[in-house]
Amino acid sequence: MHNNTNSGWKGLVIPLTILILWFFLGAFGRLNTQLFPTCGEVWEALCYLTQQGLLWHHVANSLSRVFTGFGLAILVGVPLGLLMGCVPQSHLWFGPTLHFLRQIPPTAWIPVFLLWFGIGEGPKFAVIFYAAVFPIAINSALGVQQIPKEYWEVSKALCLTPLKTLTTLVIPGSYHAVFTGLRLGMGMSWRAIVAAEMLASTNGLGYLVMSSRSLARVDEMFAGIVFIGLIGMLIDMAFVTVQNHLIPSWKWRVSKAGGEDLVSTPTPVTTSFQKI
Amino acid sequence: MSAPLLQLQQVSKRFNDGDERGNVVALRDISLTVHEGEFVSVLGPSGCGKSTLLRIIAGLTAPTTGQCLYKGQPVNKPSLERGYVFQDPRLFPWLTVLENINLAGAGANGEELLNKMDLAEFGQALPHELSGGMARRVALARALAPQPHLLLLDEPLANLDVPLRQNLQAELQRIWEQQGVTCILVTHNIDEALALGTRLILLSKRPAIIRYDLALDMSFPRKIHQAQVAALKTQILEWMEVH
Ligand SMILES: Nc1ncnc2c1ncn2[C@@H]1O[C@H](COP(=O)(O)OP(=O)(O)O)[C@@H](O)[C@H]1O
Ligand SMILES: [Mg+2]
Repeated sequence: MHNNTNSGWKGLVIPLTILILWFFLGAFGRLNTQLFPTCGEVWEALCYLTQQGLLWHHVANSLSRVFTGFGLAILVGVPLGLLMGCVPQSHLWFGPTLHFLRQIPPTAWIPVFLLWFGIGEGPKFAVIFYAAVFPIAINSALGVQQIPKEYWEVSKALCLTPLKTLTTLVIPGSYHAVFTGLRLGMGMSWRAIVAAEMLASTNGLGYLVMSSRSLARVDEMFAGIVFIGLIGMLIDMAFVTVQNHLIPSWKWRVSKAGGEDLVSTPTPVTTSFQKI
Repeated sequence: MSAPLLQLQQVSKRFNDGDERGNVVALRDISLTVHEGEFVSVLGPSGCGKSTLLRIIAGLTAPTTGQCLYKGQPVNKPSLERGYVFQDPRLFPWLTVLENINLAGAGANGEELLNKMDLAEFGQALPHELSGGMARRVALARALAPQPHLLLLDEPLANLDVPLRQNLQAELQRIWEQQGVTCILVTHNIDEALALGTRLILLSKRPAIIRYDLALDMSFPRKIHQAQVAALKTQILEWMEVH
């Protein structure tokens, strides 16, 4: 978070260098434009796609799919994660299963989902759901487990009902981690939807890129790819902004018998450019 | 004499869950009877098992052997009749002071407790805005809100500056006198134990066993019995050295 205002330019050095190199390589005819379009061509393709309204059409389709699947993943992942976090030794119970399922890339399921859900929107929602639900559930569970046991004891000593414990301890105590999970889940969904659209779709950014290939429109291919990255980045930045500004943070205060205060903060929130 | 409020019958506690701490015997054969209205000070060195003892009484931990009876019934889970003031305040950081106090749903007397604890202006403050002494008072108010019969105090005055310590000490004394709540206070500080208790129980080093159990029948405030208190203190310090 530090020095964001002053050193933001550092992050632009590499993209600008690449852009300039690319421009000059194109300008001096050093690019095989069958394989690698020039800057100008990509720019024209972008302008063309935008003017035709095609780009927005594809973006809107991709986004609406992502948000549907992602919404479903939230509905399932957050309660599931919170529940897992509340189970004593939950990592022993759920860990192996989750780690097994999580290692399977969502795209590997595409053929299965096509078989199960037909060729409509169903398999795409399923892919997004699958991509997002694990980071959401795992981070929610971790969030609950990060609540120091001292606070659980307070809830026990005050004889709080499970519902009251949920609303006064579990949810507020874990929502930072839950949000981190949402952010990771969103990133995973975005990557997955593009892959899903490449395989079975008639619209969306993934389809745009894939169909440009069959039309040998390398410029549109690149325009699509650039857009996928840009939108993914914007979504992630939106999440980070919400997390840093709208979600209040707090410090746990647990002083140990020795007397010194052990002040711990929830998992640090990173910007999209730092490691996740 | 009335029926005892609390009876510990040969309570022992052994921890064998800890991997690095291994097999720790924290309490050995503790038998203790507490009557309504008493203020029991339990004095023992750090790490001897005082918190463990309180947690067993509260119903937060089960004894390994022996049993703990509250009003004749075995204690197997916490109850609002037994208020617990933890060693550290443990306020929920996202709840205001008033919400923390009303956590157990006592509602009605939250405001009143705020006033009593001199926290009237802080009802809407968040815990991180409070000083250490204030946070302790909020934790005390939170334990008092459900109007417990038995108040369990785990080193309530430790790590406080002298003026704060004296305020809170006076506060505890007032609560005990005015509300007729029975108190068990554990501490490693001999002055605290002598200032507040009507009875003093001296524990040994771990595993804690009861070394001495004496009535402190001087009136309050204890300041006026300086000489007597000083003599007792010397005596107790001697006992503590021996064991
Ligand atoms: N949950 C636990 N698991 C293992 N050992 C514990 C646990 N709680 C306390 N102990 C051990 O029991 C002993 C007594 O602890 P405690 O009751 O907190 O002492 P005190 O409050 O007198 O300082 C210590 O040695 C401590 O390490
Ligand atoms: Mg202790």
